[in-house]
This record gives sequence, structure tokens and C-alpha cells, in this order.
Amino acid sequence: MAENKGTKKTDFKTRCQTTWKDMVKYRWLYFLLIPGILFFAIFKYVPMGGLRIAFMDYNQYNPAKSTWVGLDQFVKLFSKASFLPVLRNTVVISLLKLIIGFPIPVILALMMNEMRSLKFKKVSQTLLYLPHFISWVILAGIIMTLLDPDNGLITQLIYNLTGERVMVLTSTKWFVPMLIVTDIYKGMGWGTILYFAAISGIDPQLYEAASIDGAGKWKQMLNITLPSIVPTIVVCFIMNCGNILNAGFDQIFMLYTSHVYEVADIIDTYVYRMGLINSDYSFSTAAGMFKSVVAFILIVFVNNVAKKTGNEGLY
Amino acid sequence: MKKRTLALLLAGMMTVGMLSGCGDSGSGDSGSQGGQSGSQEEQSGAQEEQAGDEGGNTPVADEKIDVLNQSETMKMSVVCLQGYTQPDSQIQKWLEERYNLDIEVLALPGWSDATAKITLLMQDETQRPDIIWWWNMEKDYSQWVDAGLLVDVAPYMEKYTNMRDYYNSIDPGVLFYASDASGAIYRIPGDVAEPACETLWIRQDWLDNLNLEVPKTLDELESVLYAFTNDDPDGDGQNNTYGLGGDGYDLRSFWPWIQGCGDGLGRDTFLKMDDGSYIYGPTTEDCKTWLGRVSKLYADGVITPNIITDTDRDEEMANGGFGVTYSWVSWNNPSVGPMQSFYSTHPEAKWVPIDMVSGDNGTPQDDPASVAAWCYFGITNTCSDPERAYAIWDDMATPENYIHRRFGVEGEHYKDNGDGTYEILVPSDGTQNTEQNIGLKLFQDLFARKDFCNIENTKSTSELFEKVAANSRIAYSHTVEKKNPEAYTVNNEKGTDIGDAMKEYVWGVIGGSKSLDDWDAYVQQIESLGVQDIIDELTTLHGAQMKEYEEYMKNANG
Amino acid sequence: MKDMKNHLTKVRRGRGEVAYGVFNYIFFTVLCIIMVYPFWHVVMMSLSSVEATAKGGIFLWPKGFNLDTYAQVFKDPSIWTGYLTTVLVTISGTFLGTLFTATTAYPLSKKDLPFGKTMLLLVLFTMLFSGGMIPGYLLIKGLGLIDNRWALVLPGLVSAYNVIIMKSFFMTIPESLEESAKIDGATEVTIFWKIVLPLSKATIATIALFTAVGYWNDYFSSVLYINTKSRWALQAVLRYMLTNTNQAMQSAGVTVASATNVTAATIKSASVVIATVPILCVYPFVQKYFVKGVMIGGVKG
Repeated sequence: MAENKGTKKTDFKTRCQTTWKDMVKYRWLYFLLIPGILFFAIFKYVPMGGLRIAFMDYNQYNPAKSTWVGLDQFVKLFSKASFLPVLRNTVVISLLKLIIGFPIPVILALMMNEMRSLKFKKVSQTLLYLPHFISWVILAGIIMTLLDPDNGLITQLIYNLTGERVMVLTSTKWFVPMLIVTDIYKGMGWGTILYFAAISGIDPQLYEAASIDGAGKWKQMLNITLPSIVPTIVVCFIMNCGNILNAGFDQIFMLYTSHVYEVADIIDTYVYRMGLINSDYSFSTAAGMFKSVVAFILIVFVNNVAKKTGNEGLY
Repeated sequence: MKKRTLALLLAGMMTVGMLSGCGDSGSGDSGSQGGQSGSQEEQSGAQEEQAGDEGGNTPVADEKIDVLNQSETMKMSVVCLQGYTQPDSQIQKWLEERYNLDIEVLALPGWSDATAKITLLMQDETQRPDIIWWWNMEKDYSQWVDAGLLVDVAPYMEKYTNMRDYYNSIDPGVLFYASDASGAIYRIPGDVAEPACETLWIRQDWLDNLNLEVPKTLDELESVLYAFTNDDPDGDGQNNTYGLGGDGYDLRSFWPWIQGCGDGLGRDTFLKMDDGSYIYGPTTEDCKTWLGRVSKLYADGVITPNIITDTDRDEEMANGGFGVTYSWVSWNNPSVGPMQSFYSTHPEAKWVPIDMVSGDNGTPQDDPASVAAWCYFGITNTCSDPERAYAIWDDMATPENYIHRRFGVEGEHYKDNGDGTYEILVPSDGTQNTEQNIGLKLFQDLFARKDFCNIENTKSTSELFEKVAANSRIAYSHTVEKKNPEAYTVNNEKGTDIGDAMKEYVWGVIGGSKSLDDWDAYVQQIESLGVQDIIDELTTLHGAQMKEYEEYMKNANG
Repeated sequence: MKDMKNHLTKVRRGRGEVAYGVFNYIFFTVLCIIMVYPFWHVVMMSLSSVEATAKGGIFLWPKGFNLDTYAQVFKDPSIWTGYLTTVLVTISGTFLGTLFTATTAYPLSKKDLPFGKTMLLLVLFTMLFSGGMIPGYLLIKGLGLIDNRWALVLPGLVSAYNVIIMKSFFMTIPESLEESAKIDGATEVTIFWKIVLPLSKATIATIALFTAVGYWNDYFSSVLYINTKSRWALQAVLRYMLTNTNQAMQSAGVTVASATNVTAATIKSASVVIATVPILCVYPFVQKYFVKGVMIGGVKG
């Protein structure tokens, strides 16, 4: 026993020593880290104490009057009859956005990379990311015009194709697909930028070698381009998983009505409506915290899966 | 390459430097501000103590403050959202000179973010404005009062009576709803709507084209709607018209049916009965009746299809395409934007306001507005001299001064025709107002008059307002107004879910995706969500409030 | 460079490739047209007359062409002060933000850095959890930055997202390049500055773009920290115009008269154009680094 303890101690000691040696060795790296550490400590971790508000009945005008209520705010959230349906809607919408929306920028970037005309490539890149700059307030107005039941362009199109006059904005069947499509529409061009950056880092010699070996464009894409950007894809995917409970408040808020509560009411919109009657800072903090915890667990999980399958992961 | 990087670096550094320059001047400003409000705070702290000693009542000297002859310049920061917000306008300068003030206009950042900003301003004792403006935020308001952030103006109201008299002249209830249980008034009504703001509009030219009479009953109105839809009222040979149109996703668009079916109890909220009991409108038989009629009309295509989506009321009106709508009285004024747009493309058209059609019980009613103000303003404890601030605001409320603040100078910005009518020369929403920094509509929602001082209303508009006001009193007698919404805890807990379920079903029925056959299941669902608990709470709390109200009104009238 | 191009074109293109090339052009042309539409709609609306836009509908060409709206918008002083604030904040924020993102990401990309992983986790944690509005405000107040433009710059300097992206890009740089420099006795700071940064132009351009767009589109910091309207950022001014309707009141169930001032649709769209075009002009400058990155990688390799 005593011996064991002894070895453990020296183990610990030597480990400390090697760590210290490493730290001295990398002192310049720590030097580089100083501004970053200061920033995160001051601007992220100092206000982080505010999370305690979720466990309080907080009175921002007279903090002394705030009371600790433990998990009451969470119980209040979970015990709502609408909580489960709303949670389900949130997960369904963001999962669909992730599954359908995530691969599209990758495919677009790969396709665009094959374009021969540099000018065309540059122009189309620039045009593709335009919708990213149009806010949901404006875009919602345009979407409503296009979907107008009388003379909306898309309503006409659907009518000509199916012979049906669909009111997308009030239909429980069409509303969620509309959300997915418009979300992809807004974000896909912007999403390609990261992949372009990754593609531009690929060593051209690889392509030269491959073409000497007689590999066609298609093969080059599959065997060189795609594998080279896999690390970026994985990192993006893991981080997008953190948005699992953010189904897009602005987008839905601008477009939804009670016709589609059944399928499109998400946690954020529900909490917002609760706040209209009775604004409660603690309650919304608790709801936000719930979302963050779920996202954190999911990110850790997906990151572990990625690492087990031989990828780099986030950390 | 290196040189360019260096140049880039330098450029970056320079902008950072510039920013810090600006920032310095900025921080200098806010620093001096902070210092000042700090001293203000000391004063207010003393005041708070005083208020505590006197049991919530602010001690007031008997002498009035002569606001026009004050030697000391008073700093005053004022929060506002709507209206004019550019600094140093002509109107602002006029006020500053008149009252020896130094005004700082704090503009709120638009409707959707205003609440967050108000919260931050109020919780920070160094930034708290002297005059705060807000709407809703009931819980916050009660916390402000609790923390002593607002000044009780009831004693000032006894001394300076212009605002009080105006509100009492429209309805003594206004101040009842503004006051708290002890009679203290921590919030001054900012804007109170006319007793009713909407009326039934019809396309007179379409009626004439089809040789139809103005409808007087709900049944006649429906047959007019069918004629407007099917008989080509605009005579262009195309089937492109609808009967009813208007604001989308707003049940008020169906008001003629809501008021006309049964006893008009099918409104979308809780209602008070004459015997003092309370009911939930959307589960009454009246509601079922009007839903049945409206959903049939919708299915028959006589209502614009997009009325079930959240369209913009102004845009719909400018667009036209329908012949009947229930909408704003103020559209009777020729200066209103949507109507100008509409007439510019439909010069032959003619919208006229008509009497409300009568339904089952023969007492047609217009939609009553709330007597309680929709927004309030208050004097905070950081204000260096609350009484003087109130006295200034009260002086600003006289007809003459109000018209100056709201419409400018006679002969320059508006014209007095001498017969009680006026002509607006410089519209407050126009470009001239901003360009010349005139400042019309400064502090728009911090005391607004809806009487003869609203010279924008033409004579016929004023008469129309009076007519719909008189024609909405029976409906108003059922309206539930809460003095202290924060106290209705059951409602605040369950109200959202019940309202959601109601909206889902009612709009579903109108749009045709839900059926009236499921009415009983719907009523059951509403009951299971605890509607009875809310009614019980209303019976206790609101019942008590109404007793208080009657007492108050007796005193006010007696 | 020329050699390489010639070499690439020399490769024979199969039939499938040609067909694919044609398909690619058609596909992207159609896609671009669809993507441009909303922006086109807004531009055309801003060039139309007030009466025509009030009616809504589809805008392929302006209805009642005129430039009055722009003349009017530019007369609003808050647009100019908004520009000033936004430009200052964006330039300084992008410069400092990108620099600090890189200095944070580079050490964290070293796998054997003691406590590196812990620090990375702590950074990641801030991506998901934040203290909220009031604690953030209290911090800025404590720093004495309320109503100061620095409050618009500092809180958004470094984001966990950007650090992680940059870190994963740094990890793809071959160790060998750095090793040789180390043998020459260079410190990590020198390596970072002289080798890593020049090799990562595309990455830096990306992060700088993300940061710049983030600052450019940020309106909420102005809402939270700035009281004086003349110090608001452009997007806050714009949002004030866009949401200045009585919608919020209606959704709260309040009856109000229609006498609220509703900004004409033309003014709204003109302000969108005015606020968006400058940041769009930045992209072509960034874009060249994506293309250039290839060449430099080749030369160095």
C-alpha cells in the first residue's frame, strides 16, 4: 500500500515536471494566447454568472429582492402541456434543416470547383451568397408575396403542376417544407465559403499527379478534393449539431400563424408568446439554459463519435 | 507583399485609433452624464426616503411652480418610441426656451427591441431617464413601483389640472386604470384610443354599378358580398373581385358577424355579463354561429383568401379588390397614405363609411376600444425636480401648446380656416419635417389629445368617431379591463395556452381545415386547459375591481 | 503558373465531362437567377413610386421609376451617423478580431500543448452558454463603456465558432514546415507570424469575412449599449425603420388607431440597399485569396 502510494506520488511529481517543462518549452504559445484568454475570461466568463438567474425569481430592478427558487423555472417549462409538442417541432424542423441543408453547400462548392471559367465562377459565387444579406423581415415579405393565394408566383406554379390551389402559409402539410426550403435558400451560398477556403488549401501537385495517372475530373474530385475537405465538413457538422434546439426564431416568427402551431411552434416562439402576457426574465433564461445543455451534450456525443471513426473532431 | 501587409496593418491601427478617439469623446460625454445623474441620484435617494416616511405620498408645497419663469436650467432626458426622435428640432428648442430646459431625447430602437431597452434603462441607476415611456410590461411596472423607481404624481395632478381634466373629460375611467389601489398614480396615461376606432366601409361605386342598396342587416350584407364577388361590380368582365377583405389574421375583420350573431358574445376574449358573472367568448354558442356563417362565406370564395394569413392592413387596403371591410375610422381623412395609394390607381372608386349592420338581436354595435391607456409614461426617481417636470408636462397639455407641439405653427405648418376646420400644410410623416428638423410629433405618445385638438381629423371624421363611439357602448359594457393585469396569476399562467388553442381552432374553422362538427371537442379542450380557473379568478379579482370602479366613478361624477 | 494551366488543359476531356460542364453552367445560371431575385425585388422596389409599392406584388422592373426615395433617405442624418459608426466598428473589429482569433487558435492547434484541450473546451463552452442580456450589460457598464462605440466592438471580437474553424485549418498545415524553422532557432511567435499566417491567407480571409459581416449586421449591441441615436450602428437605424409599425402592439392585443407612422415600402427597401451594398463590395477582395491560396500552396510545396 505504502509503496503504491509512493510510486503514485512520484508519478504525479514527474508528470508535473514534464508538464512544466512542456509549458516552459511552449512559453511563446502561451504568450500568443494572452489576448484570447483575457477576452474569453472578461467578456464570456464574467457575465456567465448570470446563468444563476435561471434558478431564481429574479428582480432586475431590485436584485436584493430576488429569491432562489431552485428548479422551479425548469419545472414550469417542462410541465406545460405544450412543452412536448413544441420540443418535438423544434427537433423535427432543425433536424430536417440539418440533414437536408447541411450537404448542399458541400455539393455546391464541389460543383463550382469544377467550373472552368474563372470569371463565371467568381460571379456565381458572389451572387449565390446574396440572400444571406437579406434579413428575414424583408425575405418574409417577399415569401408572402410569392405565396399569395390569388396571384403569388409560386402558388400559380403549384397550381399549374398539381391543379391544386395550395395555401402554403396556412397548411400544416406545406409549412415545414417551406421553412426548410427557404432556410436552405438563404444560407447555402454563404455556407460554401468555408469549403472554398478548404479547397483552396489543397496542394495542386496532388491534382497534377492524379491527372498524370490518368484520373478524370470525377475521380479527382472523389479521391482528392472531397477527402481534403472532410475535416472541415466534420467540424462544421459537429458545430451545427449544437443548433439542434435553435430551429430559427426569426424565420418562423415572421411567417407563422395559429394555423400551423401544430407543426411549427418551436421553443423560442412559444417562450416569446408566454412573455407577451407575462414577461419573465428568469423563465426565458431557464428555457435558454435548457437548450444550451441539450446542445452541449449533443456536441460532446457527436464529437466522440467523430473521433472514434478516425476524424479529428473539435477538441 | 511585405509592404502591403504593413500598409494594411497601419490602416487597421489607424481606424482603431480613430474609433478610440470617437470613443473617448463618447465616454467623456457619458462620463459627465454619469456624474450628473449621480448627483441626481443623491437627491432622488433623499426623496425616496421622504416618500418612505410619508407612506408613499410625495409631499407637495401648496404653491404652484411657475414653469415659465425658472432661472435654473433643468436637464431632462425623455424616452420615446414613435414620433419625432431627431435631436435639436425646432419644437424641442421651443420647449427648451419656454421652460428653461435641456432636453435629451432617448429614442427606443423600434417596437421589437424596445422592451429590452426599457428594461436596461430602468435597471441602471446611472442611465435611468427622467421621463420613461412604456407599454404593456405590467410585471416590470409593478417592480418599478415596488423598488421606488417611479414618482407618485397624484398630488401634482391636484395642483396642475390640464392633463387630469382632459382625461376626465373623455372618461374618468382612464385615471382609475392608471392609479394603484391606494390612489397613487405612478403612471400617466400616454395615449388613449378613441372609444371606438373602426367602422364598416363599403365601395359605394360598386353598389351603384350593381344597383344595390346600402345593406342594413347582416343578411343583406352577405347578399351584397355575394353580388360583389360574382356580378363583376367593377365591370371589367373578369372574375377578380371579392366581397369582404381587410387585415389578415385579425378576427376584428369579421366584427359585423361577431357583433351580429346572437347577443354578440362570440368575441375572442373573456367577457363580463350584466349580472356580474364572467364567460369566455370563444366557447359561446354565439361564437359557433358566427364561425359557421364566416366559414361558409370563406368557403364560397366571397372573402379574400389571404385574410387567414398575416397580411399588412395598409397594403391590403391600398391594393383593393374587395368591396366591404371593417377598418379604421381615420381612413376617412384624405391625408391617409394607404387611401391615397388606393385612389391613385382606382380614381373612379369611392369608399364610404356606413352604419353597422344589425344582426340577430337588432342592436348593431361597433368594436369598442379600451378605456385604459395602451401606453404610459412616468417620472423616475432620477428626475431632479419631479414636480417641475410634471408642471411642465401639464402646461404642454393645454390645447394651444399641444397643437404647437403636435402640428407646429399656424400659417407655417398648418392653416386655421376659421370655421373650426384646419388644413395641414406640413404633414408630420412627410420629408419636410425631417429635412428642416421641425420636430412635429415630438413626444407623440407622451400625452396625446384625441379631441378637437387633433386638427388632422376633418369635420366628418370627428363626427364619425362620435357616431361609432356612441354605437359601441353595449359591447363595451361586456369588455373586461384590468387595472392590474399582473395580479391575475392564473390567467398569466394559463392564458397563453388557452389563447393558442382558441386561435388554432377558430382560424382553422374559418380557413376550412377544421370543422364545426368538432365544436364540442374544442370546448372540452379549452375547459381542460383551465378556462374555469381563469373565470373564477376574474369573478373574485375583477368583481372586486368593478366595485372599486363604481365607487370611483360615483365620486368622479358626483 | 502558365505551365500548370497548359498542363491542365492538355488533359483530354471525356464526353461525360463535357456534358457535365454544360450542365454545370446551366445549373448555376438558373440558380444565380433565383438567388438574385429577392435582392433584385428590393432594388426595384426602392426605385419605384410610393403609390405603386403600397400595392405590393411582384417587382421585376420598377413601377414609376424615380430616385426620390434615395434622395430622401440620404437626407436623414441618422443614416450617415449610422454609416460612420458601422464603418469604424467593422474595420477595427475585423482587424482586432481576426488577429486575436488567430493568436488564440494557433496555440490551441498544437496537440501537445499542456492544458490546450481544457482551454479549447472552455472556449467551446462559450459557444453554447452565455450569461444573458443583463449580466452582459452590467459588464459593459462596469467597464465604463455604456454609450461608447467600443461597446459595439469588444464583446464580439472573438467567437468560439471562428476559433474552432481556424484551429482546424491550422491543424492541416504540415508540421515539417514549422520544424525546419524551429531548427533555425525561431520562436513560435516568429513561426506564427512568418510561416503560419502567410500560409493561411484563405483561412484568414474567411474569418475576416465572417467577422466583418458579423459586425456589419449587428444591430443588437446598439440596442443594448448605445443610448444616443447618433451613435447607433447602421443596422439599428435600419431596423428602427423596418419595424416601426404597430404590429407589435397588435400582437399584444392592444387596440390602437391607425395614426401610427408607417414608413413607406420604398424607403424601407432603399435603406436595405444602402445598408447592404457596401458590405457586398468587400467580397471580391476577399475572394481573390481563395483563388490565390492555390498558387501559393503550390509554390511553397
